Amino acid sequence: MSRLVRLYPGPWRERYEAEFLQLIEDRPPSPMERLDIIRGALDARLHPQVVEAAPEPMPWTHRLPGLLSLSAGLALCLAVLGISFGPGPDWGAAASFLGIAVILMPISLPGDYLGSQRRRLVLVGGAFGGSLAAANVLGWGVAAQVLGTLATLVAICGLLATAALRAGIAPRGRWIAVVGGVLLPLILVAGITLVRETTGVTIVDVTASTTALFALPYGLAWLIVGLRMAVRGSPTIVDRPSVPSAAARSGAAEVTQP
Amino acid sequence: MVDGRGFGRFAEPARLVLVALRDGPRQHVRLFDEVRALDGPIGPGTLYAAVARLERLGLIERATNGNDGMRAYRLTGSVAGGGLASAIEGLYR
Repeated sequence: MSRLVRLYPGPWRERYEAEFLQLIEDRPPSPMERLDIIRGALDARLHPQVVEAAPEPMPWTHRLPGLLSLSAGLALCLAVLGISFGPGPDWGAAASFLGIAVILMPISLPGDYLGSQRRRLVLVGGAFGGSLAAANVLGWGVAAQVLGTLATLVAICGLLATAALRAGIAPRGRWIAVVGGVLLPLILVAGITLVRETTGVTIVDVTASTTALFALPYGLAWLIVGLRMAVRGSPTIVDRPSVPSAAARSGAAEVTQP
Repeated sequence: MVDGRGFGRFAEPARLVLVALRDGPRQHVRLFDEVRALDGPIGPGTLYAAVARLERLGLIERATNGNDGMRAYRLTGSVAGGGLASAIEGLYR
């Protein structure tokens, strides 16, 4: 029966669908009445009485976090390209860009959305802090170095995943960003190094210049996430909590008044 | 674009809705029953085409039905306050 209701236009359904479904559930329509519903849907499309409420304009400040993420990604990409293709070994300018990226990334993340992500934040923060604390206790031996690396990895992945979360990217997309932007390049570097160490075969000459290139996907991931965040908008922590309009709260479209 | 034309074939169902709401707010299923009781078999599609037009013109409005939270419809102030006859007349213009 709900298939018939789907014939109605979206704004009409937003306003009337729930009660209409209840009505035809309580008073099951006869075949003639089903035809009447189809005629009603046709009428609603030809002579719409309900229109969608115009979206409220987004404050410009909601684009700031996205622009910061975008800038972070850009700075990281420039740093990577500078290190990889710059004159070297003096990478002063490239290092500056790297510093800017490292600063901008966490700055772009605080927002009111984090309130609903307490559990994840505690998990990521706990893994990061726990790894660092354990590494410190172990005196930075081999095991401690592994833990330190793990903490860095958690921080790198966590920052990107949080940015992707803020950009409204679905869990699958967040995983793709983390795997494609961090884990895959890391596995590649580790694999190349392992092959060289165990067999002596050099697939790629792993120097600082070439290694830096493996950070490029991470920078690109931040660029994409930042772009999406800027387009979509996200309240900053200094913005007052957004109060949806009455129509948005009720999930209803507005009936236009003459 | 919102259609600015009149009620057309929905004028009579709209009149019945207004008459059914004359004595106070009605939850939508009850409104449907009362409209049908007034004039035989009117389908849900026709009823809601009339309801949407009446709402658009500001002749009826939604009201939350206290206890069960279900939505009900009622005449707007101007119609309930003695303007029913002229509102009905306006449907057929």
